[in-house]
Amino acid sequence: MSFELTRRDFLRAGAAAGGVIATSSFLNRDILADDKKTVRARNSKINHVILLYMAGGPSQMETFDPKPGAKNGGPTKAIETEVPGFTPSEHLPEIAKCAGDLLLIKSMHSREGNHSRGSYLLRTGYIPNPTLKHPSLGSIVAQQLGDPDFDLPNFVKLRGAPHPAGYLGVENNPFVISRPGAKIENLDYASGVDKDRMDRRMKLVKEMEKDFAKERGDEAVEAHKAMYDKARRLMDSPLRKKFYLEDEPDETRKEYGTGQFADSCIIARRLIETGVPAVEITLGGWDTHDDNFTRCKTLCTSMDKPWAALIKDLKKRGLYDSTLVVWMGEFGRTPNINGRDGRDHWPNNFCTVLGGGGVNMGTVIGETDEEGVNRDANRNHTLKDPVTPADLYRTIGEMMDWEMNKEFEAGNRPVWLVDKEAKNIEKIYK
Amino acid sequence: MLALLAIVSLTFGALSQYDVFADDVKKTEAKEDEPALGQDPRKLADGLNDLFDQLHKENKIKASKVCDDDTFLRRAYLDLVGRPPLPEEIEQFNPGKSRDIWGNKKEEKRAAVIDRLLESREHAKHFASMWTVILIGRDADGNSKRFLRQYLEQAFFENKSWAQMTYDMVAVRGDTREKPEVGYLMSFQNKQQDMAGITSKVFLGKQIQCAECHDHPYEDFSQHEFNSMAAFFQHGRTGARGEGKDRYWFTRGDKIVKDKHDARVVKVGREYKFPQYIGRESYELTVGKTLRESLAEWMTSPDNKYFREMGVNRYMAYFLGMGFVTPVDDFNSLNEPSFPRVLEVMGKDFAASGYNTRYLIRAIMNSDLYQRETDTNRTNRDDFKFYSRGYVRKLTPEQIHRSILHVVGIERLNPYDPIRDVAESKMTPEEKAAKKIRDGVNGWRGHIGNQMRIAYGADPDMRELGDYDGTLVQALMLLNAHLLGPGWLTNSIDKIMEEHTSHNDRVRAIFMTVLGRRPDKTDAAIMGGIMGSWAGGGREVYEDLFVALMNTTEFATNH
Repeated sequence: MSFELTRRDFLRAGAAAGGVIATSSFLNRDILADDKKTVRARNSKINHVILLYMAGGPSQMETFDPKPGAKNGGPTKAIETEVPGFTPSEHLPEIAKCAGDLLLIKSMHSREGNHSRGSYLLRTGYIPNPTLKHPSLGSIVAQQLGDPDFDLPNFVKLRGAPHPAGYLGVENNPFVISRPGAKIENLDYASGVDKDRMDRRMKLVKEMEKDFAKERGDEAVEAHKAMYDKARRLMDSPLRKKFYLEDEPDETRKEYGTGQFADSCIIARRLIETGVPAVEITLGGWDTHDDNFTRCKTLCTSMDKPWAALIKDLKKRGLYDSTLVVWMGEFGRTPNINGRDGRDHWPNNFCTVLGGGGVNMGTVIGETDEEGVNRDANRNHTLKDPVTPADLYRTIGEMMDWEMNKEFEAGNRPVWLVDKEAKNIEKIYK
Repeated sequence: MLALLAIVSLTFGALSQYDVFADDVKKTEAKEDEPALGQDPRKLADGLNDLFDQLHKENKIKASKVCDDDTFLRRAYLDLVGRPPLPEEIEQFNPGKSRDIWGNKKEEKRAAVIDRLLESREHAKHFASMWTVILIGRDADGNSKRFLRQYLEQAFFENKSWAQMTYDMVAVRGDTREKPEVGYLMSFQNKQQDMAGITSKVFLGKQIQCAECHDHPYEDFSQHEFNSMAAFFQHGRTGARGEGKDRYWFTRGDKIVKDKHDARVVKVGREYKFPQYIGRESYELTVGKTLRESLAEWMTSPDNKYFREMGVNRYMAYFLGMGFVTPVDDFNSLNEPSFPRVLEVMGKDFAASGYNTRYLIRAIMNSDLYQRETDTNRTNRDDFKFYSRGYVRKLTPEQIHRSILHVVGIERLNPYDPIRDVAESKMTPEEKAAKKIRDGVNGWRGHIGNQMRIAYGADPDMRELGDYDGTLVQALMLLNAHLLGPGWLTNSIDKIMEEHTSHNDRVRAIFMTVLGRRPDKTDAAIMGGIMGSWAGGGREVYEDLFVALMNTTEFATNH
């Protein structure tokens, strides 16, 4: 029988048709052969990404671009460092010492001043489009670098709202841990159930699956089996202790300090060391429409020591060269101070910080004037050295050698990991 | 597909009324004097049967058999009310026997189930949640979802025409106290490009939003056309007033069109645009209406091919696992329907029925296309076109959620009875007891809801991409989460242990409860072989069986 259908038609009809499970064995082998990704050699030494995501939009003027003494500078003082232009807030003393291990972009620029749209853009490199879901940074890295047979998920997210992998498929979704360090929901056997009982349940499942597949083909149960295999592997894996902090020496705690962000940074390092390609940590509370200065001080203090400790720890273990650490939020905040001692949304210019593998560290890109605004000295409306979120993604893609020319499929629409029109900012890497 | 063209003359017996189908094969023009359509869904079902029987023959496909009663019942329940049938509902249907308890004969039983379910409140609820996801996604804000669901539930319950529902949602003027359909517009948070993109995708099958940022990659939509469509939503703004319980949302800024070219030129993105319908050269608006009313009128007119065919394709894809166009809502010149003439005729039929959704559903579900087994043979294993077999379909998160609630026994406890709003100390003992149960059930329900959010909260657009299944977190939940409720409330296992004393009866009841069907001979053999070796023999054994069945592919799919 021949329907003259191409493989693409089959994929469309099967995989994309409202959840139909494809039952052609030819098809499944084809997919597997096509998507074998562990073998792709990349021309990059970066094997891990840690994203420190500052939810709410961190004020650039209270973090990496303070303007002490300026009309709208507020009370925040700056620390001079060995790197010209890298003058973080006085509340980031430990990070200030890491100036040589970081690259600062002061001229990040977007048009999205709304939280959900802004975070979508910064997380994916694309503006939101309700007819398509773009994968976030961690999912892209998981898909490009991850080993499908690894015991642990290839993308672990510590706190924050999950963002699905969209067209890259559920296997690249983030595995979200809502309370880092605490017991993970459903990872342990239910009370009263031991390994023996679980085994006998699974034995029964196996028999039922065999029966179900008899007439319908093994493919009908394959996805289900893969998912359960992965779940059981994770449940019984010795590596799952990497999610917890019990066996971490007291010394670590001293270096990283305390608090959820510190815990997350330690767990991120443990996971990276074990081979997880992508970890995202969320620190929320940056939406400082009121009481900006006090709140930013608290937030800076809670991230300063752990982040600096993470950098030192990764360097000590020889992992900083192979790990890209990205600090970002959805936008910056207005140079003007509003009536409630707060700053409002400001996507026009804001800061992003990169460090680790391949990054041209000890550098600052972009600048702002005495009022905290990025503009060309001669032509008021022209931005100087603007870097859009799409540019940032293109650049990270270049650094990590992602398959940026590969045509992926969302439904039947061609899509690319990064916006083809975005610029590669070569100054960012070595 | 090519084989189709070879067929030049066919005579379809029962198709006399629908012999226009034959044109799909002959590739000739449609007749002007088409027979009266949209009256009897059974006739459309028969027409589809005859057409596809013929196509199978021509293509040397041996179609799978029509499925047995158990399979049909579970399939229909999952599709129409989002959960498997309960044991008592299976007994009422009397699978395999000649009459159900209402006396419907063998050949009427299935149609009777479809009718009964379509008219139920539960069906309206299930379709309301399904359509809320299709329309505004799982990650829309809670208020929009709540109002939209409220509107949709009532509309589906009353079997409002799909054209009217579409008009209500797109053209709405007013506030949520009277018109909960404002929920649709308010979900877009005043982003007119998104309103235009989703409206055209969901109702018309035209994915124009790619053109928001650049001209469409391979379709002839330009940024200009997208912005012209978005211009209809220039007044699609919503606002909110009041606090707490009294808070409501309203549409604002609507202006009445004074003459047919009286549209304000508006700024959309970076361009200035007139509102203009997709595929039209000129714009012409309805005098005395708002822009959105003009748009909704054009969209829902019986002449709008996009609207008719999108409606048909949506339900073909939903019930059969595969529409004439895939993805379901992406009609474009490079993605032609598999059977354009069948789609065209069905579209006109749907319009002629007055866009009666139940009419269309009855026709599809009563046809053999819907009722075939998922078991395949060598000739139809790879058929993704001719509907010669059933497909194993993954359940949506909404279906999994509803299934869990019923299977573990929460729904049975009926916590919906109102309780007097007084302090607990002033309650009668009966009221106290009722309150205790209600609180317990709410806690249990909340726990399961929470588990669902952990497992699925992430994926607003999963359904469109068809990849919502396969999450690790879902497997972990079904394996390890405590879904059976607090010990003092009677869950399904307690009930089964109480009502049945023999081992075989208990196993049978567990099968019916979890999988929505009676165990067959193979199941009995498996149970005999495996459970025989299980130590204990008490409640634990039945709990293990119960939980194991919840972790099968069969539980997580419609098949």
